[in-house]
Amino acid sequence: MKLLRILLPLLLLLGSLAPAGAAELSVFAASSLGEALQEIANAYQAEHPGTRISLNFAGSQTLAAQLERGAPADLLIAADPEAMARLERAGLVEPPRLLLRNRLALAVRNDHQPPLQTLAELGRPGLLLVIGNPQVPVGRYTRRLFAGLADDPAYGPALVQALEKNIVSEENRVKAIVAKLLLGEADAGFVYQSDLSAATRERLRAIPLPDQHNPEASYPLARLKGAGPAADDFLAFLFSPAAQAIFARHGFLPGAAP
Amino acid sequence: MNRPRPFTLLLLGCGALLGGLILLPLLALLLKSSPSELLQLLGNTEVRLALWVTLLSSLCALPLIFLLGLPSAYGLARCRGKLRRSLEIVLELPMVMPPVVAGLALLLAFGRRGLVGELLNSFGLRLPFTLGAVVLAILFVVTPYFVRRTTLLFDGIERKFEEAAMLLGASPWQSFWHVTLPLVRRGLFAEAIMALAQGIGLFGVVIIFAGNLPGRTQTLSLAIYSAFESDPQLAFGLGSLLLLISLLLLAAVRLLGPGEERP
Repeated sequence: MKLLRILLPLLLLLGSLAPAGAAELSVFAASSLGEALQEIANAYQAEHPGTRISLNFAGSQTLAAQLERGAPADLLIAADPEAMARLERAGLVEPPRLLLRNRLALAVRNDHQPPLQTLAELGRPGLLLVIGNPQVPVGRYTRRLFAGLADDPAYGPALVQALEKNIVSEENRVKAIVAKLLLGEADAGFVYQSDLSAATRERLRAIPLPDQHNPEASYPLARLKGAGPAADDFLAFLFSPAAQAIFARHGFLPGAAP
Repeated sequence: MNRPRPFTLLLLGCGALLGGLILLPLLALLLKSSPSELLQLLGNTEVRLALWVTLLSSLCALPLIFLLGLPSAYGLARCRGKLRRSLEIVLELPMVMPPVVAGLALLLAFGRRGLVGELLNSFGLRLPFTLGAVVLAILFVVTPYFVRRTTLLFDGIERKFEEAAMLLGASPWQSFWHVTLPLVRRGLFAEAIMALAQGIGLFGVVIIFAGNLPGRTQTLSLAIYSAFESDPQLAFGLGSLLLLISLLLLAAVRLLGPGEERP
């Protein structure tokens, strides 16, 4: 009984934290969109106090698998056209639109001794390189970059082999690569340009990658079949100049090439 | 005929619900892949590598768990009162730690820039992203459970056997080795298998502390997580495989465990 007396007010308190009558909008998004999308959702909610946006971040393939198994969502932003195509074939989403583009970046620790300046130095024996798992988009793009470098006489297969030898971990989420770099457990990693934000600049910087080999990541956005009306409004907001400015500040490129 | 009382019905009902809650997901997983699919998995190089890393790391950790855990458990079994309670709390700390937090904590302690990382580095030792990290992770998570359960084994022994041995002139070492250990032999064997089973299933702490590289640190659980990103069917198959291994180990514990000795 005593327990009940303590628990009951606690439950009531928890219940009251959720604003009553708010329209709930569930957005599934690739984990690389993390901070940018959070900022946009906050901006949107400030303008629309009646709407509550819940964001679920994970690798695009995980999101797709969750949606295939019936996870409830209104919008999906994937970092991977393939995952989106799979859902479209399954009839779960409406035709997607290209929301953003992104490119790979080679992030290195600022304090690495001797300082790392060029891509070729990444082949040094003993350097700790972390990349994405081939199953997630960032890992697939990284391998596409490697293939391009191997075919280019300016870099060559020897460098790519040396790079591959230095790989110490294949992470399932791009943010996990960033985290290992920030912690100093790894020296370098292939991430998205958008991952090198103001928050990471103190410890990490980007080494230029040859543009012609740097694959372009695209972020398709789709409405789930049966999404509520609140979804359309937020979808339009994502394409608005205000939201696109936030995306740009986080290093994303606009969906349609300018 | 006496009618089952409501209280009995309540117990039965709750028990049946709990049984369903436990068995239903296991069944769903096992039904998802056919036995022939599971056999095919074993032909897959990545699966074999993951299986190898899993078994190797657990087997490497086992002697270390015994080396650290057995004397600690014996010592703990001889402690009484406040001291024992405080030592038990220390043991419980890793048990209540979420695995991800344990991984972070290990990184901050033994990572390259961790508390003792620099020291290890000066000996040329680098733990993160190596099999050593997987072993240390297993050691960190599993040893406390091992010590807790082994302490209970030692608690169950009547002290008079040891006292008799000592009276007959045995040293503490001899009495431990020749009297106490044989008494708990079966129990220890079961604990060894239990420790193996626990080590095989670790995920969060491994992926944070040891990273995920096929053939080096990617254990079966990590392979399942990676596979789920692209090939869910493969993930289900690997899941069944891991579940079957755990079931086998559990069966071994039941067969060999001390439970059978008691009436």
